Amino acid sequence: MLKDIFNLLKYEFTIELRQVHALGGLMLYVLSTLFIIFISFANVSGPIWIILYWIIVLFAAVNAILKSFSHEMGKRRLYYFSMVNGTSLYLSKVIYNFIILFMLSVVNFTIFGAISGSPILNIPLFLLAILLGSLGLSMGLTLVAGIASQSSNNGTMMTILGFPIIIPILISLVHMSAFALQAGTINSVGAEAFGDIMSLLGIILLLFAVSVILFPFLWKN
Amino acid sequence: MKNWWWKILGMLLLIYGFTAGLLLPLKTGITDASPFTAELGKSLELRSSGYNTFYTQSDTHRAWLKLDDYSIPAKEYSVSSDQGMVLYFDLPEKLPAGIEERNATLIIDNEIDGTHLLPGAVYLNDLKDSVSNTNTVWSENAIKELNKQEGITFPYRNTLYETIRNTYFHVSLWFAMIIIFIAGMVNSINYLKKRKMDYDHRASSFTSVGILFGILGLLTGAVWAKHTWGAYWSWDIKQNMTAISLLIYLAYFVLRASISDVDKKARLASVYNIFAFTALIPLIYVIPRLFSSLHPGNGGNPAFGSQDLDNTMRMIFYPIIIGWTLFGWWMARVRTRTKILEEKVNQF
Repeated sequence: MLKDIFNLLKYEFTIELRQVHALGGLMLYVLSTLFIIFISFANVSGPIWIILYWIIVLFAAVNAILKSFSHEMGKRRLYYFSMVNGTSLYLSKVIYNFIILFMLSVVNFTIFGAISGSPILNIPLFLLAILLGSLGLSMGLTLVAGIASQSSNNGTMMTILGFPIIIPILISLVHMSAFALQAGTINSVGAEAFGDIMSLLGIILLLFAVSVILFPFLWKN
Repeated sequence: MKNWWWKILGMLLLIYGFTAGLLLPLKTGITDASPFTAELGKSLELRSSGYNTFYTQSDTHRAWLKLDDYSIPAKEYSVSSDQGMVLYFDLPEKLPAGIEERNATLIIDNEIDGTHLLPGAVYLNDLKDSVSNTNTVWSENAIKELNKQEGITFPYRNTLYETIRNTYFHVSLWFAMIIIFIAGMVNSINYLKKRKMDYDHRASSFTSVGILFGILGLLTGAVWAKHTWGAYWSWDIKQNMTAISLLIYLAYFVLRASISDVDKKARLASVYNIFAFTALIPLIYVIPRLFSSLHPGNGGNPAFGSQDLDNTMRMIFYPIIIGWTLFGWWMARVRTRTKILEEKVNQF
């Protein structure tokens, strides 16, 4: 099963590198959103910076994760079906989405910070938030993308089904990132940020466990 | 009687809950006392208005102003009506030793109405001109032999008043909604296991009844919020999260509508229903705890504890939850049957 996951991942990345325009399109999407925000806001205060940051990441995540299922239609799906089981396919998708999202978030953080000046003083804590955020978004949205990609007009379906489910993760992320506005190290953050981290981990684990169980049902007819 | 006894039970429980919940009176209380402030070491003439009280029917009344364990009794009183009473106090020159609290509680006691009180009725200011015309002193633990009100009553709370009855609608509808949603999710699980269309019909029927209860719970909550918090919608974290959880379930029906293939529809909808219920748990039970909220049970506000939900209320609260659940169950069953019939008609 591990071998299946590894092969599928390798395969995903090979495709991704061959079709650079898809990943490049996402980067460009993040960049153009950043410019629009920068032009319309000019000066962004700390808490608003964090909210805007996570909203950009959210929209990028919805696009990226939905895209990861766009290949898997028609004959290719039948081929996969004969080769691997649903669980390993799901795990490979989650890992792939997580890596892409993590990269996107870090790039977003760097460019956003370079353009408007980053208000983040506790960078290790914010990187932890990015890590948990990309993990949570990929866990929460991968199954939803699987559902949406099988329905008609999947772009709208993805937002309708995905946004309400992702809101707990997003709220905890914004709440947790707010602690990164004060200087300090990861060890120096108080019990409140720790509570956010624990609740995020709890939500992520819950969504992950349910997704792993449910994905094979989505996959098989 | 074999199969429909629970429908009658549900109806009886609802009728019982509606009549008892709306007709039983509240306990006696004090709505208002004026003036709000008084000067220590002077005489005080305090006008208090009672709620559900029958002052003219009792022969004797007793009243105290209480600070922590210390109290002073009323010197005289005059009853003006069933609800109105004027109390005369001689306030001591100083606060009791070691007491910082200045908001005195007004306590009135008589045979008919029992003991009723108003917390923070009078704020005690220091003596200004150092000329005291009283010679009373605070006495410790002097309030004894209190009367109890007779009859079955609901608790009286100064911010809630009669709206405390909404517990039987707002709170119990939410309890019933969660049970109905769980039933919907169990049917979805059964569909994925056994692949019989009946389970999917049941799952969607239960979920639609759950949404109906959710909307009713939200509306009764909004009316309650208007009376206690001052606005129908105050963007409280609990209100937002409930609105979002309704969005999740509305999305379930959008998803169903967007797929034409019957089996695929049932499969995707079942997967989403189970996933959505799981996502509901952090929405309702985790996130509201991270933020401050006006709602009971959050952000330092007490939940409905022994103070608000006394034994009289429990006698109606628990039965009406069962009543709403059985009623919802019945509605879902009827909806399922019409769906199965529609399916059969469409086959011809």
